[in-house]
Formats: sequence, C-alpha cells, structure tokens
Amino acid sequence: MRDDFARLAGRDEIDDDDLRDSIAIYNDNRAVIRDLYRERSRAPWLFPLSEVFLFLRAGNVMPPEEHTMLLRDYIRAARQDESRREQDHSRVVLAGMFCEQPPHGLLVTLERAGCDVVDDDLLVGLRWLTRDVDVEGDPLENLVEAYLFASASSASRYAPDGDRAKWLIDSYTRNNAEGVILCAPSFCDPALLDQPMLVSRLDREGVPHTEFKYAEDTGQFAVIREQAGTFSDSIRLWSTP
Amino acid sequence: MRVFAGIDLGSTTTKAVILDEEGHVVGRGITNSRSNYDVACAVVRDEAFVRVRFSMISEGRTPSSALPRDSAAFAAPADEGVRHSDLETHFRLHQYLFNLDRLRASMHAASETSRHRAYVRDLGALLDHITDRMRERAYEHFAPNANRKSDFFRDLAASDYMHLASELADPKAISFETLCAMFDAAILVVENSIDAQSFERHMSAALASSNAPQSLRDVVERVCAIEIEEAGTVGTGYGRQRLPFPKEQIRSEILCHGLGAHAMFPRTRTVLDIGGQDTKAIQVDANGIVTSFQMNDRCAAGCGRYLGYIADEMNLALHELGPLAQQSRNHVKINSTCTVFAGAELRDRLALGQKREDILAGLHRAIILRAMSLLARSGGVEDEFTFTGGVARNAAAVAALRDLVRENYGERTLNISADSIYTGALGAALFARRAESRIAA
Amino acid sequence: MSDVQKEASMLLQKRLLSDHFDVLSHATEEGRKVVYTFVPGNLNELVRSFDLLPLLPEINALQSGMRKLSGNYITEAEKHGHSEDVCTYVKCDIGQLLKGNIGPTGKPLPKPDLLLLSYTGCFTFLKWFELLREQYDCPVAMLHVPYQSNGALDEHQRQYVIDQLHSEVIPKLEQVSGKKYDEDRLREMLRLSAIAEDDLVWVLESAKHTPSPIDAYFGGVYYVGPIFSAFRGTQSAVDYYALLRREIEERIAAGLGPVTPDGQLKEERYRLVVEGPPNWTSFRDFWRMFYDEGAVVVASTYTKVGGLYDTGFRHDPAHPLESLADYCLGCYTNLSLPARVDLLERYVREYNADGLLINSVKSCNSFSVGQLLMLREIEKRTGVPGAFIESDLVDPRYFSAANIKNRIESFLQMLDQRRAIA
Repeated sequence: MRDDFARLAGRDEIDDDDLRDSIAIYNDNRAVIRDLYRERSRAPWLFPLSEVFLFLRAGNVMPPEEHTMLLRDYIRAARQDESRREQDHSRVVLAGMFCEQPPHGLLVTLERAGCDVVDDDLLVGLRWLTRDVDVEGDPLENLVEAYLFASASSASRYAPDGDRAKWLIDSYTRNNAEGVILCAPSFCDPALLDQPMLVSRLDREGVPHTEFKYAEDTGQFAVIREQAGTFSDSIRLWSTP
Repeated sequence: MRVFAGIDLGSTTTKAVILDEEGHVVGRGITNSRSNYDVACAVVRDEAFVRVRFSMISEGRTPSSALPRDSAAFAAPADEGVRHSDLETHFRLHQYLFNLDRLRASMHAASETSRHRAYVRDLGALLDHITDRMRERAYEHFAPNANRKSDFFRDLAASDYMHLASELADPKAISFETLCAMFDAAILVVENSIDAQSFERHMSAALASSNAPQSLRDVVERVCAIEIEEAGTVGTGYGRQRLPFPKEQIRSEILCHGLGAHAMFPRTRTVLDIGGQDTKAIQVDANGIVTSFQMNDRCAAGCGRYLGYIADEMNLALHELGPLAQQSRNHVKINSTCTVFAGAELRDRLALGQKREDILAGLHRAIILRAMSLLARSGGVEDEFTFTGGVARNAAAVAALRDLVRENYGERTLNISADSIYTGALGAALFARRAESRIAA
Repeated sequence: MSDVQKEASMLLQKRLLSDHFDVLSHATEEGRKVVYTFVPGNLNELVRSFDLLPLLPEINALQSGMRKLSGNYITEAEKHGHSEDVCTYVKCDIGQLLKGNIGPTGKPLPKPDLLLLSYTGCFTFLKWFELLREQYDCPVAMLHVPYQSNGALDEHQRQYVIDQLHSEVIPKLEQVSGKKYDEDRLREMLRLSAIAEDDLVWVLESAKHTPSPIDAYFGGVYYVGPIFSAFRGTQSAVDYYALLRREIEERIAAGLGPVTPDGQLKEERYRLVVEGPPNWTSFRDFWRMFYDEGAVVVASTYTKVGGLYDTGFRHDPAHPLESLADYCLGCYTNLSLPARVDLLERYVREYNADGLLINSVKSCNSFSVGQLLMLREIEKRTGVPGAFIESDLVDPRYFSAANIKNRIESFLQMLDQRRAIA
C-alpha cells in the first residue's frame, strides 16, 4: 500500500517521517471527534445528530487538518448558542448504519420523534481507531497494531469471544442512555444478521430497544417517525427511573 | 385480400394490428383488457377488421384498386382521415346502443336475484330510466366532432351511469351502492360476450341513420363483399401462459416490442417501454432483433400504475398529472417511489408546505430515474432512443427523460409516437408476416 | 411418464447422501463428534482424518428447499427477528433449528462439537456461525481465507492460510476429537480426492461435445454433490465418479443428450452457460423451462462454488496443507470479479455456447454483486447475448414462475432470431 500510494502521489517513496506526520494529524482529528462525541453525550440538545452527521461527513471530503479546525469551531459555536435548549427527549444509542450513510431526513425524523442520539456508529471510518496511534517507533507497525487491537466494533467484524453486543452495552451505560435504536439499511447482511444477536443480549440486560430498516436514499419516513416516536414516548412514560 | 394480424394482450388494454401482404398497416383495434382472454382477442380483432373495412370504404376501394401507399405508412394507417366520418360515427353509435341494450338486459337479470325481491319492480323501473337517459347521452357522445373521453364502452357507459345513479339514488329507497352493484355485475357479462353478426348489423343501421347516398351504399356493399383472409396471426402479451393461440404463434412481448419500434423508427437502437405494470428496456440491432433486455416485472414503482395511485391520491385524472407537473418552478427531490407509501409521502410533503406541482415534478423525475437505471442495466441509451407506453404521453415524464438522457449519455434523438401503444401488436403482426413468407419461400 | 427417470449414478449419490444423514442421526448416541462447516473451503479430508463427522448446513438448507420445507423454516426465523433481506440459507437453517433441528430426510441432526468457520468467498458465513455459536455455545475454529483480489494466488495468502491451519484449525480438531493430527492419513485421503477430481473434471468437460451428454447446471448439482459435501477424500466418492464417468462415456458413444426428469432430451437446440446458484424450491419447474425448449446448460459456475478443478488444480498428497490452502483460495466466489469474468469467457468459448444466462439470487450477495457487469463484459468479449433472471435460493416467495419463464422464452426467441438473420 505504501508503495502504491507513493506511485499515486507521483513520489519516489513515502518515508517513516511522512507517515508519522500523517499519523499525528489524524490523531488530532480523532481526538476532536472524541471530544465532540463526549460533549454531545453530555448535552445532546447542543449537538443535534442531524448536524453532527453533516460536520463529520465533511471530514470525508476535506483535508483532516481543516476538518479538525472546523470541528473545534463548531463545538465552540454550539456551546455558545443560547437558543439551543434542553428538550424532553429520550437519550438513545443509534447503531447499524456504519457503512451506508442514511438520508439526512431520516436523522431529522428521529430527532423530531423525540430521540436525542447520545452515541452512534455513523461514519465509523473516521473513528475506526479508538485511541491515538503511537507516533514514536515504526509507524507501519504502530498502524497495524492499532488496526488489529484498537479498532471499532462493527457488525462486519468477527467477535472471537462471541460478545457481539459488548460495545453497544458499554455505550449505553457510559452515555447514560435510556434505549437503543437499531437501524440498518436494506440488504445489509452484516447489520441485519447481527440484529437478532444484539436484541437477545439487550433483552437479557433489560435495555429498551427498537429496530427498523431503511431503503437507500429513501424519502419516506412516516413509518420510522411513528416507530421512533412511540419508542421515545414509551421510554419516558413507562421506564423505571 | 390476405392480411396478417398481431394481437397484444396487455394488462390494461388489448391491441391488434393488421398488415397487408406488402407489410402496410391497414387496420388497428384497441379495447380494454378483460378477464376472458378469448373474448378480448375476438373483440380487438373485430375492431381491427372494422377499421380495415372503413379504410377501404373511405378510399372508395374496389377489388381492382389498391390502397394509396405512403412510404412512411408505419407511422399511421391511411384510415386516420376518416375517423370522424359521418358513417363511421353512426356505426360507433349503433355499436354503443347495442351494448347499452345488452347492459340493460343484464342489469335486469342481476336485479332479479332474491336479495332485491322486495323492490325489484322499483329497481327495474329505475334501471330502465337510467338506461333511457344513457341512450339520449349516447347521441351526444357520437355527435359529429364530439369529444369523447374514451372510445371504450365500459368507460363511457360507466361514467354516464355513475353520474345518473348518484343523481337518482335515494339512500332510503334504491341506494347508490345497489345501483353500482347492478352495473358491476352487468358490465362483466357485456364485456365477456361476443356478438358474431355485429359488423353487418351495425353497418346497415349506420347506413340508414346517416342517410347514406346510394353511391356510398354501393361502395359499402362492394367492400363488405371482399373476402379478407387472415393468413397468419401472432399473439403476444403479458401472462402469455393463457394466450388463446397455439404455441408456434406466440412471440415474446420483448421481441414484438423491439421489432415494432424498429418498424416505426428504423434507426432506433434503444427502446424504453413504461407500461402500466411493467417497464422494459430493450436494445435492438439494425434488423430490429433484440440484442439484450432488462425488465422490471416485479415492482410497481417505476411503472405507470404508480402514477395512477398518485392521481387517485390527488383526486386528479391521469392526463392532468403531466401538465400540472410542468408548472413546477422549484426542484423537489424525491428519491424513492415505493407505491405503498405514496399516499403518506404525498401528505407529508404537502404538510411541509411543498407545492403540488413541485412534488409532482419530483415524482415524475423519480419514475424516470428508475427507468434510467433499468436502461443502464440493459446496456445504456444508444442513438436513436424510442420511448413507448402510456407514460410516453405524459409531457412531464418525457421532459424528465430528455434531461436525464442528456445528462448521462449526451444528445440522443428521442422518438415518441402517438401510436406507440400499438408497438407490440405491430411487431407481432410483422412476425406473422415474416413467418408466412419463410414458409412460402 | 409419471416416474422420474434416474440412472445408477443418480441413485448412488442419493443413497450416499441419505446414508450420511443416517450416520449423523446416530452420531450423538454413538459418541461420534460432529463438525459443522461450509461447502466452499471445506476441509473434508482433514476433518475426516480425525474421524470427525462433517455436517454442512448449506446442504441441509438446499435439501429442505427441494423438499418444500424451507418456506416454513424461513417464516419461523423471520418471526424471531430475522430480516426479509438476509440470506435465505441462514434463515432456513435457523428456522430448522428452532423447529427441533430435524434434517431434510426426517432424521434428527446432531449438535455441533465444533463450528469450523471456513470463511471462504462469503461474508455471510461469518454471521451464520456467530448465530449458531449463540445457540449452541460450542467452540469455533475460524479459518480466514483471504479474497483473491489480484486474480492470482500469492504466496503470502497461501502461507497465511497454512499458518491458521497449524495454529487454529488443527489444534481445535485435536481438542474436539481427542486424537493427534495424522498427516499420513490426510495424505491418503488427498490421494483419493485427486482421483475423484480427475473423473469429475472429465465429466464436466464432456459437455464440450455436441450434443452435450450432460446438463452442467441442473444435472450438475447432482454431480458435484459428493465432492462438495462429506465425501471428498473417501473411496465412496472415487467409486461414484468412476461410475458416473462410465455412464457418460456410454451416452457419448450413443450420441445421447442429458437425462431430464421427463426423460431423455430429444433435441439440443440451445447451448447455454449459466452463472449463479440454482433455485431449489422450484428446481424441477425451473429445469423444465429449459429442457422444454431444448436448452442445455453446457457449463456453469455454481458447480465450482465448492472447488474449482477444471483449471488444473488437484488436491496433492505431496503437499497436504498447501493444497488444502490452494483449494480454499480457489473456490469460485473467492475469486476476483475479473477472474470470474475470464472463467465465464473461457466457458462460453470452449463449450461453444449460444448465450449466457445469469440467475441472480436475491439473498446471495457473494454471487450477485457484479453480475450485471459480468453480463455486459461477456457480451462484449464473446458477442453472445446474455439474459438476466432473478429468483432466490430457498425462499419460495421469490420465485415468480411467470416472470422467469417470460424472460427465458424471450431470451431463447432472441437467440432464434439471431440465427435466422445470421
């Protein structure tokens, strides 16, 4: 890969220092995204999912340094916006759309239906490595190490210990969530085949959840709105505090 | 006179095209499809042969003279000019009146079941009253230069009947529902029966009521004496398992459609047909033979029926959708066209403040996008590109298609024919003629 | 003709299969250990060298499909939360499990002592065995067979697979069976595999004759049964393929076409290459749409899903683990798209085909992805027309006979017209 990229870039080679520099830049980007997610979890009304999604998505089409700055600006601006008020919404973790990006309207629909998304696996590629990658030492070794042992959980990855729902339960607890929404794109074998396993685990842990599926690029959200709204209401009305 | 017939049993309409030995179109017929395939075939065949006779009459044809030939004859049969001739209009009137009489008789039969016994006399009287009024209306429908919304008996009769029934129904006496039930039962009987002597009967009635001069009567007599031999027939259409033809005389609708389009537009290479219930993308070669095809035969989205649902939801007629969509000034992006949720989506968008014309424009584009996907799968859009099917009569759909083809493939000559509904039947007739010449050769 | 015609080889393969289900049904009471695994990437010789019994859930699913049991199983699985969109083999298996795990022949199936997750050419296998692991709570041996994206096997990939055999698969087989790895035994079985493979390839290539003595798709699924399932490496497989070969030799000598359920095919009118798995729930009806028109399939890619043998590969007793690795890497759905197109092109040319037909299966991503591209590419390279039909593996709801027949007939009429002009 290193050689291929060098060829693409029209360079003789990409050396270790180049890699280390790049690693550092992406470490920064990952750090600001972690910050954003932490802040969002604390005060989701300041950072609506439909907005966060767009800001994150921008990261796929701009240089990471610029993206990092953009996100810092966003965090600052959102914190200072007094018009953003806390609402009587349910705190939910959203999972299943890690690859095929949902239409923006779907995310808007979830929020309008009364859900504050406090964690998700959207655009998981930007957050694939769950910690900083070492800048010291052999950069390729460090990348491989991180890729193998510090990368995100996903329906498309084999879980050797059989605990498919670990990250979901962790996230639910860590983020003080009240429920889990599993939403997968149609025909996605990984996410859809995962759902029954996640559901049985969520049931065992007593975590409220609801599941649905959406079609790529759909504009039809009526059913999802009903379902998410009912779910959000049911959490607030019937869950034990 | 030897002719070749092609019959296309579609989901909504059944078509027939008659070709003479030189391969020119001498007659066409169309009728609404019905449950009895044999009857649908017989009716449409009759219609087409009626047309053949009328075109011969209009040209003053005698056994020794030939029909004037136009080299672009596939574009339209030579009989179009006489469509509204006095004699033919009278013929149609008598056809209609005959069917109306049958409808009356069938409705009376339907009214005589036990459940209506209590009021059978009143019901019978009301049915007579309604059909009498329909008879009067008939003369208006078939007045010279009258504008009929449809030529099918079922459509015209239903429209008049429902109008009168709603006017004359009384919820406390004979309800609208009862009257509808009578019509629904009777129309099936009328539609699924054949009348063998129809041509002669209606023709003599027409000659009488139109005060035809003797010269015309002579021509008619000569034309009716000409024996027309159906030398070959090919059938095609959806659900072909039950086509009332022997296996050798059936051709796939894909092939018929491709050959028909080629006959209409010899330089066509790609054909898109958006029908009521399916959509076909066909690539043909220089001989009109299909080289590849893709079908959407399992999803209502992207087919004409979808527009039907939308029209219902918006309380509009189908033919009003296109013009309204063309009034759109704002782009509304609609990505999916799942028919099941069409109504809900429409209401959502209207509630969001989007305008009807903008939503409609978006919907038209969405349907065409699905067609583009099918076209890509079939091999792309080559020059020339022919667009057929009911949706091709929708100006907004055509505009969306032009835009999307240009965006994705560059300039292409887009062929649309007002007669495209006959494409399949034309292709079938051409196959019939081809088969015959091969046997003869 | 009310009785379906069957030849000796057909009866033999049927018996082999039913005997195997019998053995499986007694496994638990006889204390025999059972390994569940997949058809692509199946390490039958290795598994059997430990005296372990292989069980292939895919075979269960397709057998259930042919016996009209799969519809209910799938509905059961969907009631338990499985989506309509996912692989119907998986749902059939889960449904079968939920309904008491009775196999397609009516005999009970044993629980797995080990799930040998040979992850070859199909991502869904991974989720399938994760789901089974949840149900059975038994050990899993994961063999990760890398996708041959470069179109050719490279040494790294082979070594990667061999390393896993050493570090993961063999130790777990030893643990489950209580026996030590016996390489000599493995070599002996691989020697038998190669003999059977020679005869299998001969049979497949017999379709190069005109008329073809076999149907390489509908007939073909019976022919590959033994080698794709629990019999590769056994004397039974050797005997079966020898018998089959003799039968085909006789057919060629007599100038006969294939046997169909309705009897001897009278006239070969169209020679087709087919890409994609068959439909199992309407298998016979589907086949009839072909032979009623005189259409014979002369080559198919589905008959390579459990191993590609007609490009030279053989299991090799001299290099046991290497050749097992190569076998896994070479299974059809593990090949790159360009490699699959090359193979199809070869088939169209070498088997003198009139056209290519793709049966695109709704729930099978491994086969389906890229099929339209393949169709266009083969048309471009060979000039033969392609047709595209859509159905499913074992969900009876997704086989629309009228639509499929319409497309097939249109395609065959297209071929006719081309011949008439040519």
